[in-house]
Amino acid sequence: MGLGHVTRMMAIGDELRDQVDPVIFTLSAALPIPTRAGFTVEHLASADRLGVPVSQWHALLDDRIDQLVDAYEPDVLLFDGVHPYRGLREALHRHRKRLRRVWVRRAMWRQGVDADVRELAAPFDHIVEPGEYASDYDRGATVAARRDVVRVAPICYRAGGERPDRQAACRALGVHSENTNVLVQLGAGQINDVNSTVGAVATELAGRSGVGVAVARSVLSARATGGDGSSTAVEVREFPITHWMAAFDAAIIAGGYNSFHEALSIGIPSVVVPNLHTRTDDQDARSRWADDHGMAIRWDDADHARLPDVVDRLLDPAAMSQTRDRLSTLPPADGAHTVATLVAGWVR
Amino acid sequence: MSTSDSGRRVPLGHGLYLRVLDALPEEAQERLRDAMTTRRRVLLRIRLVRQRQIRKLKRSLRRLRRALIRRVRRFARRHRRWRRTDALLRGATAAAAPVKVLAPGELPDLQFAASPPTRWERVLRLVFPPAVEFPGSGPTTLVDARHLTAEQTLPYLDLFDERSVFLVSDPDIMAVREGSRAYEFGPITDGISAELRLDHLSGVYGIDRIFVLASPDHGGSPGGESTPSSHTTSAVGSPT
Repeated sequence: MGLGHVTRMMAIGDELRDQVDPVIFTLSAALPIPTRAGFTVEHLASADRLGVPVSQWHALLDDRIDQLVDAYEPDVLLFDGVHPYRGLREALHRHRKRLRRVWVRRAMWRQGVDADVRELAAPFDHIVEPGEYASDYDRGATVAARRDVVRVAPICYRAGGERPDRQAACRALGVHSENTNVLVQLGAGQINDVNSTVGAVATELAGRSGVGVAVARSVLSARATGGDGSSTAVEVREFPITHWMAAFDAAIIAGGYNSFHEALSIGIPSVVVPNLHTRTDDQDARSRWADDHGMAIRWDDADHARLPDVVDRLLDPAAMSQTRDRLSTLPPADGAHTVATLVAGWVR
Repeated sequence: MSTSDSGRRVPLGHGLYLRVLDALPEEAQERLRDAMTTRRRVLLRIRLVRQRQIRKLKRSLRRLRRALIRRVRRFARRHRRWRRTDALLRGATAAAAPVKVLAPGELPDLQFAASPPTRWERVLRLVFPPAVEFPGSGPTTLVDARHLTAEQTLPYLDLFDERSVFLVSDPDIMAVREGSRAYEFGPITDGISAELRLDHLSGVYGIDRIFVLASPDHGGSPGGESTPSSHTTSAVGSPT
């Protein structure tokens, strides 16, 4: 699982904690995140990290699931991922009488990804589809396989505790509260390298008076990537960044499920930068929906010449106000609560 | 080509056939052509049938081989499950590998327990193969680094060969992932005891020996060899 999968599981796990003991089993390196949030975490490295052939790794995954089922004796197993691995499918089939098997299957697959969705779904008792604001633009393989699928609101992880107000959030992140603060959440890239998307965006924003820039870095990346320190942008590594959103007036975000739904559900005017080279996630369609409906501005980062105009539109006070009004009409991203209620009902 | 008694070269094969054909009356030529065509078709049919049979046979062999591999794997998996159940019931570890505790800064003695497996051990491994086979030959090593942080574990990665797997409990695994050694994350939880965790790994990797990296904060018992039970209770410390 990648970070998006982990955070969705954390969101559901958080809702369940009062009733059951959730255990998160992940293939992602994002172990510190659920661990620090107090979850019991199990992990299996990928085949290349273990240096074993893929066929052996599937057997290993199968065996590991056996071990975990024996050790923790779960009633329900939720799998969040696009493709249930062979090892997982075989283990699920073997434990069909012992486990309630649920696939949390994100929709919005790219057209042409012709996986046999029905066959992949065969080892599961239930399929839950996390909500997608842009579902009208979904042309992927899951659309035709929605029969008996439980569709819930978007699932976003919110850390517990009271959210800080703007002053406290700005103080904590090191940005000025009197500025128009923009969060840049685009993944890797040097702030000072104008050839990178992050660098180009940070440079464009930093050149405007009264605009503060904070670049969100992965909590997993160990080293600072700020270059020579000449940039006025600050780097933030807080997780989840949504906890500190009071510090920001606008955002420039990647088009992945989590960033997109977090930003839109919180109601922050955003520029969405789709990654057009993902394997399954149709970020292009998601960003087009947002742009067409005035929920966000779509910017293809191959078109650097358009960036100044995009930033102008983002920071225009009247446009920001209109966008906030439109975003307020979106349903809340509280799908985790619904899934938790379902899971609690399935626990014996 | 061949030569006749008089030394004159006469054609063989298709050349001879053409010469014979020329020598025959027209009606006979037609009949000979038909006969030869029939012969060619029959031979072709025979060849096709034979090729199909060979393909079928090869396919059956492949299926048989795959089925055999599946059965062996299933058998091995069941065996591992029995061992786990047994360990659970007896509360004891089945990881019978010799253990050496490394004091902070101490270099590993790679000759430790590196003797080749006995015939019986080789038979056992053949019947119950581990789920993961590292490349190369030699003992499979588990490096128990659960008492060290990821940063403290890093210098040890290159001290062990590629048939080693590191067991870490620090969730900050990014640095360990960048290393070229296999690793397993073994958090100390209520769900899985330290003994059972080792037992799992023993079944998965076929562990021949265990090095325990003592914590710099506790010191451990430098250079000491110990039994699996003392390893899991005193050197590592049982969480249960």
